[in-house]
Amino acid sequence: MVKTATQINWGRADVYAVLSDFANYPKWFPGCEGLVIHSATENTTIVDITLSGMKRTVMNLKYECEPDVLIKFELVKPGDVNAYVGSYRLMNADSGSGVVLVQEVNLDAGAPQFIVDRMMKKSLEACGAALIKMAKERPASAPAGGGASAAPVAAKKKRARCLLRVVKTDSGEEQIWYGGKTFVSK
Amino acid sequence: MLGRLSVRRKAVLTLGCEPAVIYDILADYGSYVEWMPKVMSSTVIGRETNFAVAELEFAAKPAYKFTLECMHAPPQMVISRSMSGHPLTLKLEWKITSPSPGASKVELMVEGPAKFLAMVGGYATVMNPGATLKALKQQVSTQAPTLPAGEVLIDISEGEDGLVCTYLGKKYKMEAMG
Repeated sequence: MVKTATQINWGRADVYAVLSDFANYPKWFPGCEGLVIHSATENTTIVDITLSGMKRTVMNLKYECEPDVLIKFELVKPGDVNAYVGSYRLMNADSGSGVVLVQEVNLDAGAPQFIVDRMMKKSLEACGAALIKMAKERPASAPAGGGASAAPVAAKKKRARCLLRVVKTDSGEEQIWYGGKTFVSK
Repeated sequence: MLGRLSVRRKAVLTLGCEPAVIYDILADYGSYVEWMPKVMSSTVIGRETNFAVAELEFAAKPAYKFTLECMHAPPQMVISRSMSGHPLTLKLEWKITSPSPGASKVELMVEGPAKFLAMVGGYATVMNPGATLKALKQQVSTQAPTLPAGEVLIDISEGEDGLVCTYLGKKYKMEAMG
């Protein structure tokens, strides 16, 4: 399993729209030579995707979408590869602007896993870079980070952190607290 | 091959505060730089309800950032681990229990490359859960419930409004002079 996180300064709905527009993958998705849609219901799409790499690979994939949040994909039947499963997950960027795309994928191509993982990591990074490039070229349709299901998660209020405190106790002595230690002044 | 071997180390510490105080510190990934040994920067990139993505930079290798996926189950567990496929695997797993009211038992399990143990300073410190728990204890002590009680003459605290000084009952906002 390989994972990457990419920050994209683009609307959440925009990123989701591009990732779920499977018919247009050959126009932008790195290494995608062709894509044929076999069936599409509201949230499930079955495709044949052709990818170039060390060798040309055709995979029969099922995509399941949860609008603005998650796209999961998995191999329907083994062919050129034994297993291929992963997801694109969208999160609000903590900076308040844009989204974070968390991509994960696991490919069993019959080759040594560390080689496959290295290739997949490069592929995920290329996908993130392509989306960043697209975000620069196209204006956001909604405020960055916005979207139908993009309820912002407010960062929890930070507890105040004491750096120095001097108190006078009931017995009249002064206690000086600093750096986790208390010193007594009599 | 040695570089791929990983080791686990565990330590436990009991602290005199409620679990929520510790949990708040541990789930505030962006503030790790304030207290965790040898951490040079900590940034939260993305956040969902119980999931976050953060970057940590250690003194051992400045400019090299670990991208961590962080999961938290308030107020008992916080797990941060480097994303799968990262060349260096690092995992911090915190478990918080309350053996008695007003007390918390914190268990920290650190998992990382075996070669980190041989590195003096930076990463070796990260692999020392005892040192990290000691630093956590100090950070916990900066939270109000563990501070000495009595009439407060002077208090300097850092919060969302920045540095605030309370002197003889009045609050003053502090600003850098240069």
